[in-house]
Amino acid sequence: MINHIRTWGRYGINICADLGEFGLFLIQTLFRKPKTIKSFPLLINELYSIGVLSLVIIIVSALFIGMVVGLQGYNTLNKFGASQELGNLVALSVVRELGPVVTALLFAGRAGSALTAEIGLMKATEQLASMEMMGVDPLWRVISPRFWAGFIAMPLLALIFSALAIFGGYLVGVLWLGVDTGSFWGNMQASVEFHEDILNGVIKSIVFGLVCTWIAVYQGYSCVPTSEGISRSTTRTVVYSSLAVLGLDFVLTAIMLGGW
Amino acid sequence: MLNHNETLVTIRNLTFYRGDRKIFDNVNFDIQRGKITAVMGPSGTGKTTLLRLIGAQLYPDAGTVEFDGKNIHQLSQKELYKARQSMGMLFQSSALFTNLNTFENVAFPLREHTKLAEELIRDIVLLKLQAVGLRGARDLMPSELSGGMARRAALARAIVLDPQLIMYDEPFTGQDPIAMGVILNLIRRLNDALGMTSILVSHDVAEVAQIADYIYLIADGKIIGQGSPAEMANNKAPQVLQFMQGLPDGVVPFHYPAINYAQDLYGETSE
Repeated sequence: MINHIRTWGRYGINICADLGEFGLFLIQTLFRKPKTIKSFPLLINELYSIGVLSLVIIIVSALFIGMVVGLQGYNTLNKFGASQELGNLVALSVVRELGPVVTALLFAGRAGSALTAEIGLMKATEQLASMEMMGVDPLWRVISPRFWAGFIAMPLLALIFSALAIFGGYLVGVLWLGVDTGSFWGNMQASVEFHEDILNGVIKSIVFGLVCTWIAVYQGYSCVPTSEGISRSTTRTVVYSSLAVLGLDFVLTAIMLGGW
Repeated sequence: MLNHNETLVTIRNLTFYRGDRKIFDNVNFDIQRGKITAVMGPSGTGKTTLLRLIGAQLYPDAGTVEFDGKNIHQLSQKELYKARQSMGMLFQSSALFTNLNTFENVAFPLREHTKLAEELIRDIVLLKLQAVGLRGARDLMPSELSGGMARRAALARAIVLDPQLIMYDEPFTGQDPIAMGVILNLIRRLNDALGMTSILVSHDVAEVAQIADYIYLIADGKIIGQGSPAEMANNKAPQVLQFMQGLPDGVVPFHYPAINYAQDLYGETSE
């Protein structure tokens, strides 16, 4: 009995210690004094590898998701003779929910896992240790540019996702199924609010960007420096990021709809 | 004991644990300025750990490590990073940045810590690459370098800021005889030409004896022997003798503790 209590106690203490370390890591990353001239090229470099290289998966997924929403939406709305409302349905679903959430999930799978693996491998091959021994802080040189690049890239990717998903809905709804172009765009314009819908979607993606990148860089930085350790950390990045995004989406939606 | 003017690194009463295992038990080291000091010992005795303690990547459980008269573990982060600019370290894995070519790897510390003009950076990097024989390999990526070349490129990077102290972590591991000879020669030559102080961690007795000025032999968390290579060669203490002559069994057993061999093979159990 005492042993069980001890095991659970140790487990609880370890969780608290990990969470504390996780929080401190964010604070250290956020408050690293940036050296503007040197930091900017590093940030641009990371924006390219995190943001630009994620564009293909975002564009292709957005188009298909928009097309599926258009197709499903048309079939359902048509039963009630409301197919002209397709534009609203596609836009609101995408801008409020699918855009930020699916972008974050894709981001965690593509850029998040790559970030963890890259940083983990740098740790395993002593590149981070050698940087420290050269008097260069890896948190400033390696972690900070990646963190800010993820934070900046996510909302931009979510906006691109939303625009292309709406275009996918348009392709299916208007060009294939024959919904009137005017009612598709007109109803969309009339029902989508900038503050209520678009801005809230952007706020969600900013929060997701912070959380996904934070998890990814932390998992890489704190991984066990072996091939198995890197593999575990990479998996944890995708799992934790996905769960965090879905959980936070509910909380943010509840707050934004005034439920809390 | 040597005074501070003679020693660059002074370690006193160092105790360090890794988990429950005691790696160092109240040991003292003096690293003399301008000399090559070798730290030798069987695998797993804490040689690399000692370098990490000197570089303050690890903190001791007790005792002090002084670098150039300052307790390295009591410096603020800013002071520590400043002090590390006076240290160079050659890692066992070379630790070259895989996304930068050889030139950029060597130029990295200069770009981070100085505001030198690009032409001057180029000249310094080429000088260092010439010293390690890799001027012609400046455009190669780390993945295109052989093990020996990578070690030399890392050495060029470690000395690019002209540090006071350079620490070599197993520089001969996995090197062919030619590369080993080249590295051996480089360590001695760089130490003398640049007036540096070197700490060489290795278990290659013959190679170390050729270039070291002073040797510490550690085992079981203690210093079991110290002296010049000649003194160490004549040391008759059983542990020192076993290590220096490479005897497979002796005070330090070759076999990890286990049950009787025959009993293990045939599954016999004691009645």
